[in-house]
Amino acid sequence: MIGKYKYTIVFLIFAAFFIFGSMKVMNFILRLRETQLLTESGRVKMELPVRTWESWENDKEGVVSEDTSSERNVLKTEQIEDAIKCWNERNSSILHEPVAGQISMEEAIKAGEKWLVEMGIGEEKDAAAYTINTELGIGVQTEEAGEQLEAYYSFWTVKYSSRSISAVLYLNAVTGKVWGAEITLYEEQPEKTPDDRLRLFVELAGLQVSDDDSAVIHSGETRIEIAIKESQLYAQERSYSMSIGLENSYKYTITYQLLIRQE
Amino acid sequence: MKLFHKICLSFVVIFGITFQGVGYLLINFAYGNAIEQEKKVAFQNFQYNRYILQSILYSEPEFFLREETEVENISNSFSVPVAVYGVDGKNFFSNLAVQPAELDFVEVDDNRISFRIYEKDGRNYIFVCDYIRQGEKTMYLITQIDISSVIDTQKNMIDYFQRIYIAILCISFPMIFLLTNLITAPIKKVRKATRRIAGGGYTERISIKGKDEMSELAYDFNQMAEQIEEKIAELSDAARQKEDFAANFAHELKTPMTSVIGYADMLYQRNLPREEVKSAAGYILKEGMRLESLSLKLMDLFVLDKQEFILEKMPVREMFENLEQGIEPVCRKHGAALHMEIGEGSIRVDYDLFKTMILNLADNALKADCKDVWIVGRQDRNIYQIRIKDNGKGIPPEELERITEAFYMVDKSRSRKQHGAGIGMALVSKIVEVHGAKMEIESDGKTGTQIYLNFVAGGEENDR
Repeated sequence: MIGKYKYTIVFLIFAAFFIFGSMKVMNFILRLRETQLLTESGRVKMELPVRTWESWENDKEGVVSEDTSSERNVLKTEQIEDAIKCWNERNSSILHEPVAGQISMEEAIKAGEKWLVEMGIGEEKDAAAYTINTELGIGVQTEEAGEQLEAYYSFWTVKYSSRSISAVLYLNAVTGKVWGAEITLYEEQPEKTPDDRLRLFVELAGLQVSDDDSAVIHSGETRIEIAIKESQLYAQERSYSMSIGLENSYKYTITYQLLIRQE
Repeated sequence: MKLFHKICLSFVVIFGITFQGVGYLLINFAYGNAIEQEKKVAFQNFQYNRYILQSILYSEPEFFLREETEVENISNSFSVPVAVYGVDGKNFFSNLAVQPAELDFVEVDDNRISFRIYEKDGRNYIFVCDYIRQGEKTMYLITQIDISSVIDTQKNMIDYFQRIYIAILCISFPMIFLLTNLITAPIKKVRKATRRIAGGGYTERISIKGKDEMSELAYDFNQMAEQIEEKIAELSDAARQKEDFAANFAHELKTPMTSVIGYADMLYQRNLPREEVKSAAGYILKEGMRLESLSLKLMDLFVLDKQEFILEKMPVREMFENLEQGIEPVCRKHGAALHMEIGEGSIRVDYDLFKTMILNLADNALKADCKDVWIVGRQDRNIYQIRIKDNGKGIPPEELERITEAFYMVDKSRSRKQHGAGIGMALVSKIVEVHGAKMEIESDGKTGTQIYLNFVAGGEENDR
């Protein structure tokens, strides 16, 4: 009986030996690879998602900032539109260190503070008055890293928090202008009217309100929109106040955005 | 190990190597990819927390000079566990799972950051460290992210893969057996047929289907079996001929010897009158001569097989003019007429053998009680044909094939009366073979026999 199935038994022994042996070998190799992966260390250069900004020359066709101190950081209308579009459509952002041609963190914080004062929202204070949180990032649609973009696609996000105010400002990293803001006031409302505030936002963003009669696109109780001169862009302010439960306690929220008109 | 098992094992080995190889590549890729993704996340987390630290230092440059308990309150500000320590190595704050010193980072102020994947208490972390500069303050920041869940997922994937491997092997084992059976079935068929042939079944053949290698093997096998069958038949025939030869030879010896012994015994035992003694001695002499003739012919037959003959180019007509002088008186003695009609031409022959051949054929014709013998020779292209025809009793068609066998006689009693021993045609056949010629015999068994001898006309070769 054993003689008849001798070869079958030998075959089964060989097959079993190979099957379990190959499993063991594979596990061993994977274990080696795992050890290699899980003990990895080193120093790497962080890949920057943006290029160094070299187009600093004045472009007379562009939208020129009125701020003479940053005249060199001028973007064309198309560039502004592209930067706004990319930022508004972001699903996430890749944080990075500032590159040449982009403003530093200190400059961004100071520009933000100045903007708050000019908008009549905050008072001139030193940085210690606020809890500040900043980050520089570029908006991306997917997690996949693509090729490097121009430096003007990056935005500084500066958060100012104090007892009376919470503001998140989005400053373009090349121009240093505030192109978006989410402000919550806890104590007093701004004195200016929404229309004046929005026109001031446009002006401080380094843009100009359209001259023609149809500059105001929408004017409602909580939302006002005005067109930007010679551009597909328009600025929007949304504002509302909300009671927060305590007697005479409320919060007033204002959002500024630059948007692109859909054709 | 049998071929079936070898093929089976090969399937298992190929399957195993392929599956494990592909599995390794996939798992290795997934593992490496997952770690790379986690590293990217770790670097982004580091960048995020670097900004948090810089913001803190911007707002309050002397923050880390505060009381330790106050400093610890910043842990909520960071998104992941971090460690902050000075360039002098002083630890300002840490909520990492390991001591910063344990990580042994060697960080310098350049545009690169350090990272380390580290295992602590069964959990895996990615630590990232860089030099932070904010205003006049410089310090190091280490961030930590826990990748244990990713590692566990990868380990689960390996276990899952091995389970799938075993499951698929279990499923595929019967399929491998079936497939191997299909492949080896024709081989088994060939083996069975071989065994049957080995057991004597020479007519065994394999049915051929398809056009693959196995069909080719089956076809070749059938060809081989056919050859073997033919060879076996030939060998059987040769063995039978040898047996017949031995039996006939013994018989042909015994017949004259019986007469010789009988007459010799009579002469020895009895005093016979002079006439009877003469008659008995005559019988003994006649049978002795017959035995001598038989032995000479047999010797010729054996010599023809062993010796090499030198063939010479000779004119046929001239040869037959000489031969006619020997044949014509014999024909006349038997009361037969010789008709000779020889055309021009030459062939390569050993004259003595050629003469023996023609005389034997003429003698056979005369022994068949013929009235006429025709010998006709003519050349057609490169063939010289000699036709010897008689109008004697002929040879039955069914016996034509055997008349060139030694000691084979169509009519034994008549042959013996005529002192024949059945060697003549065997001798003729050998001589024809020596000359590289072809012999054809035609007869209906009633109206005589025609023998055609086809020689190569002319010819330059001078060996047999």
